[in-house]
Amino acid sequence: MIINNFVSHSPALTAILPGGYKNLFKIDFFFHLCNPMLPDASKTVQMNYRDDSFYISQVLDGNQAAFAALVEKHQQMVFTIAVKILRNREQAEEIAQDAFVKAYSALSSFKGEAKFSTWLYRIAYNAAISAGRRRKPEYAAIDETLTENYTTDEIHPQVEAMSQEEQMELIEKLMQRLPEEDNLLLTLYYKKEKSVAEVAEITGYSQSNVKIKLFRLRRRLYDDMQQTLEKMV
Amino acid sequence: MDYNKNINNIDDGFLRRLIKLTAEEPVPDGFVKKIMQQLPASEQQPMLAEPSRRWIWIVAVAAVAVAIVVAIPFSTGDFFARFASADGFQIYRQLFGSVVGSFSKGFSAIHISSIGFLILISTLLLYLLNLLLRRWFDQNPSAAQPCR
Repeated sequence: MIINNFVSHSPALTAILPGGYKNLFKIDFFFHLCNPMLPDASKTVQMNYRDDSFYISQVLDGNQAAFAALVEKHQQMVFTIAVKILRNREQAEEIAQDAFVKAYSALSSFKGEAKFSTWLYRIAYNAAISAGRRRKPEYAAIDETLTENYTTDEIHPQVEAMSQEEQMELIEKLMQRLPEEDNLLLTLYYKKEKSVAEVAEITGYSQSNVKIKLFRLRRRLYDDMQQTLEKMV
Repeated sequence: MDYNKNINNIDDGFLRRLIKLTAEEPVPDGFVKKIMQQLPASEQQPMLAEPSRRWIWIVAVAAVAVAIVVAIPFSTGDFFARFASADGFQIYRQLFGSVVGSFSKGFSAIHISSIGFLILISTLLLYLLNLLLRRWFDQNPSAAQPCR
C-alpha cells in the first residue's frame, strides 16, 4: 500500500518502474533512489538490481535519478579500484566520484560493445593511474629475477593451520608489499572473480600480458609467503 | 610439489580463498549523494540526438520504401530484362544502371525534374553528413573544443 502510493506520486519513479516492479526491487531501494536525503542503503541492504542497460536507457531518456542506481550498483568496485591504486581513501573517493561523473557525461557515447561495468571500471582505473602517476612517477615493476624457492606442498598445510585472522593478516601483509597495480590485478582476478578478458579490458593490458603478470604475482606471493613462514618458525 | 610452469594455469583455489579474506575498503558515507550532486544540470543530460535514433532509422527505412514503391512499378519489366542476359561482373554494372534508370523513370513519372532530383539528393547528402559529423564529435569531444 505504502509503496503503491509512493510510486504513484513520484513521476520519475513511475517512469522507470515496470509492471512487476515489486518482484524486481526491494522497497528500501525505491525510497533510496527517489530520496537522496536518505542514508546510503548499500551499507545495510543487499539490493536486487536490474540489468545496467535498463538504467542507461532511463538516463539517456532524461531520467537523471536512474543514474543513482548505477552508482549504487558499482560504487564498491569503482572505489576498490581507486583505493588499491592510490592507497589513500580521500584521494580515492575524489577519483571514484570523478569517474562516475565522467561516465555520466560520456554515457551517450557508450556503445554497449563491452559491458557497462567493464567500461566504467576502465574509466576509474585510468583516472586512478593518472592521479597516481602525478603523485608518484616511478612504478615498481614485478621482480623478474624472482626464483622459485617455494613448494605449495609445504606452504598450504602451514597456512591452513593458522586461524582465519592470522591468514587474513598474512595475505594483507603480503599484498601490501606489492606495487599498487599488481595488488589490484590480484584483487580483480582472485577476489572479485573477474575473467582474464575482463581484467585485460579494465587495465588495457593484453590477455596474455594479464596471464603472465598473474602467473608471476602468484609465484611471488608464494615465494614471499614461504619466507614469511620461515621467519615465523 | 607445485612448480607450476604453465602460465595458463593461474586459477589457484588456495590463493583465491586467501585473497577473499582480505578486508574490503568501505565506500565513504554519502558517496552516491555526492555524485548525484555533481552531475550536470538536467538540460545537459547525456540525451540521445533528438528525437531518437530509432526515429532516424524508421524515417530512413520509410523513405527508401516509398522511393522503391514509387520508382519500381514504372520500369519493372525493363529492370529485370536488363540483366537477364548479363553474366559475371557485368551483372553489377547492369544492376547499377537498372537501379538508376528505374529511379529516374520513377521521378520523371511523378514530374520531378532533374533539378528537383538534385535538390532532393543534395538534401539527403547534407543530412547524412550532418549525422556523421555529429557522431564523430560525440566520439571525439576534444575535437569540438575551440582552437586557442
